[in-house]
Amino acid sequence: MSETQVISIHSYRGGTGKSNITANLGALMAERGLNVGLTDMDIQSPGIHAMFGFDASSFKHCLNDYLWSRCAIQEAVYDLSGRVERPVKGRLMLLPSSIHPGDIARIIHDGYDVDRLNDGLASFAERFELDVLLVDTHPGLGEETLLSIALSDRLLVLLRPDRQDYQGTSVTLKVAAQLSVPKMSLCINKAPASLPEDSLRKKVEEAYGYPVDAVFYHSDDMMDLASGGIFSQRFPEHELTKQLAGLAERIAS
Amino acid sequence: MIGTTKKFALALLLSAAYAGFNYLTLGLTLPGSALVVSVRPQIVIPLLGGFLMGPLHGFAIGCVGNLLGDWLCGMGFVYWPFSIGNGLMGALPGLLRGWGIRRVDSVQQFSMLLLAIVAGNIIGIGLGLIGYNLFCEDSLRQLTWLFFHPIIVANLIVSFILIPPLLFLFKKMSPTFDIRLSASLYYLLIAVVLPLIYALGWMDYVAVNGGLKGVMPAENLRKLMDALTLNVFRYGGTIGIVVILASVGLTFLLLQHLLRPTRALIKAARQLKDGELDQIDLGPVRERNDEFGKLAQVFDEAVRQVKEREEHLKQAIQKLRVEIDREQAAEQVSEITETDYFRSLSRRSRELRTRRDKRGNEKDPNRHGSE
Repeated sequence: MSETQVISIHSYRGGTGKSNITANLGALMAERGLNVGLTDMDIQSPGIHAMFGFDASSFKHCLNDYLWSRCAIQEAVYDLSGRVERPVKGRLMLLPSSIHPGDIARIIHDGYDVDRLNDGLASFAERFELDVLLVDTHPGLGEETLLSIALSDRLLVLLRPDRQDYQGTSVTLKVAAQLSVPKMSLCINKAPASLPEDSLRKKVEEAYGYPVDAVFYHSDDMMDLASGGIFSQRFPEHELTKQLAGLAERIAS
Repeated sequence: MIGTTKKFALALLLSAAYAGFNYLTLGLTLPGSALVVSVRPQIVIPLLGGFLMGPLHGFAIGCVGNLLGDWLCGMGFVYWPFSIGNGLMGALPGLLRGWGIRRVDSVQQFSMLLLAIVAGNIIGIGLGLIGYNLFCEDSLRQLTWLFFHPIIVANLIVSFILIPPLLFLFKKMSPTFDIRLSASLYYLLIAVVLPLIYALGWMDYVAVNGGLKGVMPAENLRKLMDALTLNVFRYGGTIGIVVILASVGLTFLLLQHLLRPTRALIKAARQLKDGELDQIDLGPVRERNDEFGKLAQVFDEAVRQVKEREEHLKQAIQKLRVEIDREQAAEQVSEITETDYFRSLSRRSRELRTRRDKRGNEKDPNRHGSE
């Protein structure tokens, strides 16, 4: 079994389309034949499950239950291959966080055992022979986020080209560097159509010193993508899907 | 390009061919034209020879060929002034090289060639007649009327029909838009004019011959018919030639009308491509009421929009600055990294990753991580 690559997908601010892009990247990697695990580490405001049509009543066990030793990790993992529109060659598994407010309050209040989380992720990877484990993180730089970053082999930081995000992204990258993340790159999302891709990419790369893996423009298609469902599955020939597939290939390698 | 010697040999060969054809078509006269109007398709040999090989070779082919032909026909060298005239006919199309015209790719070049052929015939046969006149009793006026005019009409009609396809055959004419347009009109007119002349002659013949047969002596009637046929040919032919030349001129004007705006638009498109947006000026074309005018207006509008977009883009790029307050960022970073949590996490991050890797590499199926 080859090593599992843990990739955290992060943005300093909310609303950058992080869960959306994460779900699409997962589906695209699985389509290409990789075994993919999706982990919702956004324990405070979970969201990625909704992309696959789950709701509060869908899960018997979640990541929370595992952290509280209420279940084994495989009991909190859900197969997504039946929930996507196109067949996937690899596995596509989801490890969700609890959506119940009580659970969320408890985990914020009490915290959890970092080793147990790490062990759980390792078991998840091992049991399902995962090639890639995508971690959807909570915006900002709270403790779980720092932990996700510390566990990751690669960090993909999403940013919108505006002043607030520039500042936050700079902080995120510096912090991640101190946590010795081996590979880091950027993805620009919701860029305004007036900015040419080359100049934008160049400026951002110069400012941060990390490569920009993709630039997504703000468009109606992006809005469609945000409206739920897995865009790349529904519109496999779309230009945006091709761009997402390119990003998936770059970060999975 | 062929060598000088080869060119000389070719000119000799063409002279011989011209002579041979002159001998063969000696009796080929227009019926009823009193042996005056001979049909001489070989006239194209010196004309094309001159155009393709230059004035000297053209002169040689026409002059030597005609002398040789006269000799073959048993006429000796009595008509030598006409041989010089034939030489001049060949020389004139060759003189077009002085204007850089060596082939025909445009209506302009085509009309120049036609004019050179007309001029060559008038000058050549005219000088021939003047020279011949020095040695005979006929008046120049009579000669002009009886020989000069009909010979030129016959020569021109034959050349006009044969020259374009021959040029095309020798790949000295390209089927450009110009040429296609002009050739269509040109041959359409030839196809109308020639049958018309023939029909006129035929109608005269039937009417006069039918009306006067038996009324006047046969010998007189024959002379009358000859004169009639000749006149129909002369006038009809002249009008035909003028109409055909006018059609080429008209095509030239029409093409100018079409090509001038096209060239202006091409220039504008090139300037657009090169980014010289401020130099684009379609003023006169815009004023036109036709499709060119519309195209120019749309083009101008497109240029205006491209300019606007470029301006926007320039501004956007100028504004695009990834502004980071380094001091504030450093403060924010240290706020995070100086917590106990971060210190311990930082210490452990490497260990966390290697620990997971080790576990991932262990091939122990009994471990599920849930204990």
